[in-house]
Amino acid sequence: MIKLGHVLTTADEQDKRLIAGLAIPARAYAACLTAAGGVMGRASIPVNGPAGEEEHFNNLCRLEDGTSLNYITGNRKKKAIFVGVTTFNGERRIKIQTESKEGGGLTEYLNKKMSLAVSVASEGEIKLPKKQSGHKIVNRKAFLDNLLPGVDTNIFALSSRLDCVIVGPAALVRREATDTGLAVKLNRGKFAEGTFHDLLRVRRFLLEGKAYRTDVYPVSGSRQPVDGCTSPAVVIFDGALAFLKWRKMWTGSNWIVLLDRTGPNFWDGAEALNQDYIKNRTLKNPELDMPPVPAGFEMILYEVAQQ
Amino acid sequence: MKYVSFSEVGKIYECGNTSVIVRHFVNYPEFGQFCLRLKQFERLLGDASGDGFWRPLLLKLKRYRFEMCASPLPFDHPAVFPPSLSALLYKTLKQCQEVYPGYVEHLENLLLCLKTLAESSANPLLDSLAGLFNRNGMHKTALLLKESRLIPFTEKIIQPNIYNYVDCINIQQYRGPKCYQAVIVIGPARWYPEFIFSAPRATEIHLLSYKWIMDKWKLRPVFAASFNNASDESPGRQRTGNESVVPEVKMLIADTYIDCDEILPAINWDEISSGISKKHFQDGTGTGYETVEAKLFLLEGLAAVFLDGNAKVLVIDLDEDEGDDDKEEARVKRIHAEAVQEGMYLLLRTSGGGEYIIPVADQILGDYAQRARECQKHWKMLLRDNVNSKGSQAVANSLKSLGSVRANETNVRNWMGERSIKTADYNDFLAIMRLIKMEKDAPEYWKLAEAIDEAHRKAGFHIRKLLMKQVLSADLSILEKTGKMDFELEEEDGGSLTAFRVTGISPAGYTVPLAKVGHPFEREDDGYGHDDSSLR
Repeated sequence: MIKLGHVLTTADEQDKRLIAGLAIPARAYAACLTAAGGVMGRASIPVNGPAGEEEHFNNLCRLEDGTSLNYITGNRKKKAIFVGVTTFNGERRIKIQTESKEGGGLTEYLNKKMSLAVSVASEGEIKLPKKQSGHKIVNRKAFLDNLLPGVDTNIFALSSRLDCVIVGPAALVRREATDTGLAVKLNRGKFAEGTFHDLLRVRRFLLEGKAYRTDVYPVSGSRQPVDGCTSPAVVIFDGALAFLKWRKMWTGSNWIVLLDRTGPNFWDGAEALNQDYIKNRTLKNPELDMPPVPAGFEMILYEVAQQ
Repeated sequence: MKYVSFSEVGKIYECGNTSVIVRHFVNYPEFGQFCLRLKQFERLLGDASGDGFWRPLLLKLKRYRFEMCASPLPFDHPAVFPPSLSALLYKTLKQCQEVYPGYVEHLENLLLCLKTLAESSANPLLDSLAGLFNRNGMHKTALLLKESRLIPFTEKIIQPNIYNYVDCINIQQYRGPKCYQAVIVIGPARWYPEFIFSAPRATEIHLLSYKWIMDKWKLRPVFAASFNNASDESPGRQRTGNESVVPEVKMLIADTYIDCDEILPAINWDEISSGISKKHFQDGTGTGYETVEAKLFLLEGLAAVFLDGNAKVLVIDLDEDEGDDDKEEARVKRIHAEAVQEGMYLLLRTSGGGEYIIPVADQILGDYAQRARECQKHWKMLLRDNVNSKGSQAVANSLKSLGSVRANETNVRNWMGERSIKTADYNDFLAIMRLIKMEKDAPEYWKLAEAIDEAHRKAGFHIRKLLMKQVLSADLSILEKTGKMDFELEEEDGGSLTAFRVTGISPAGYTVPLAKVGHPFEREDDGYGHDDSSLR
């Protein structure tokens, strides 16, 4: 399931959408697992596109003095304000102040490379503390670092992008994502612990303003975005009813349809998916690097033209 | 839907990966003879089998045949062979001698077979079960029955014979996360939903059924084009337990087998519906009363209820995801009857009489209640009189000319019905009042109708709150197991509500007396007239 999520969010299918349906013996965790694959697949793609150091640095240089900033240092996020540009050791640097004048007014000079740790804060005017050690960005960093090799997990945890949407039983997904302890094996028999939520960063379960990668919409709720407003890389329909009720709202994304064989409307969901396959599939079979489907599962995989 | 731990779901996947289906065939010639003779007798009767003389008898005999094939109960068990049945059978035989002398011999032979069984405490399915346990040393086993009704009787019977830790479960419970070493399924596979075998909760599924039942079940692919090869990879590899060969379809010709679908009681929607309507009009309560288009819902325990698709009903939905508010309360909800699905639990008033919303709403209305109800009845009666004399289309046209915006045949019928409290728009109401020559009373009548509407809303909320208290403190696993549960409301004259699992919904709608809507009744096709006090 992780692989399926990964493949569907990273496949290079221009003007096409990929649709996968899975008949599974139980729905539990299937949405979290596929979403985990989806988020992992997209984690290495920068949120704001491939803007380079140069552009980022120049943007910061153009800020007005006193602009509120976030400054990442180690696994901590600090408040800062922009206080100008200077030349130091022969290179241009931005100046950011992280402590108040009463506390000594600590100011750091950051070159282009270092400036990647700085972003403009969403808050307006901020008051700097006398001393600050900053807030921890990632609580279970080792867990995330091991799941996302080569990805700066601090930046991952601070930047929002809707990679996956789960439409399904929100309360159950919350418990599965936040209450289920997972672990990644490290060297020498040690483990780094975490949860699905550490990776998925589900907007619905986070405090307002926190960076997210996934969102969950309940089947019974009315809070579904209008078609076209939001197009995550993949939408995971957790259950037949979710698919039957909300599929028309998500026609801009790839789909993973999880059909619990024991769930209500299973055959209706399968029938709707079969109809979609018959009516809308392209003649070309998607060529994807997929592992064999395990026993006890049944899968359909096809592509449709992007509307 | 319940929260399932990671390890539980791991076990489910493991079962799906490794499970096998083992078929065991049980033989008991005396029962086989009865079943085949019943089949032959029905064929002999041909179209006559549906007439009023034969149908009640055949229903009873067929239900006995089905229940004996579907549970490990002895042939003389009172739950499936009540003492009153013998008397009825002999009464029918006596009448047959006069009415249908040509069938007497066949009927006598059939009843002789039945008599032998009814006097026998033999229990071949249980014997076979016990043998299976002894041979395989099973523990952590579930016994799956098609009929929830038969579970309590079966539990009592199997306890002294088989180990106490066998779980007797129904189809609904099988959907849960609990996995077993083995599940023993009583009856042919085709009687059960496919997920029993495609989403197994055990590494071994033992199918125990009589030898002469033809079961043509085969796992079918879910998708039009499966990415994997469904037949190779899916669970449910089959083998036979005590027979070398699975009977093949061609043996049906030999007339020594019965197709499993033939044994399963067929639901005759029209008959159930006409039964209740006929009763209503015969006892005189139906004369002159309003009728509505309603669907028939079959309920656990051989009960049924008519529900108007547009009306709202209270349900407990154990599959509910708790919704936007992430609260358990979402499991008890008021939804349109047309949104009710099989497996949901309908909450119906079974004691205290009548619709519960109205008395509670009247309490909320207080002194206004009587006047408000009288006024409501008055304008509806006058509108009905207009429709009866001119027709609904003509009334709709008149209303339009009097300023109504939404008047059409359907809306007019809806407005004059007892289910609707008021029109949504005042202009429609004013047009009605003009039509019935009561324009000057329109403001007062509208105000009272609004008060009723508001009181009904409050009453619904209040009842839901009372119920929530009950439901949240109740052990809903019992509801899941038995398919039925009573809830006493904590208020003076609160009465009680019973939650019934919905086991079937009629494909078509029926025109039934409004007075019969929302009240559960015992089904006419219940061969044994099972005593169910909750329906009174």
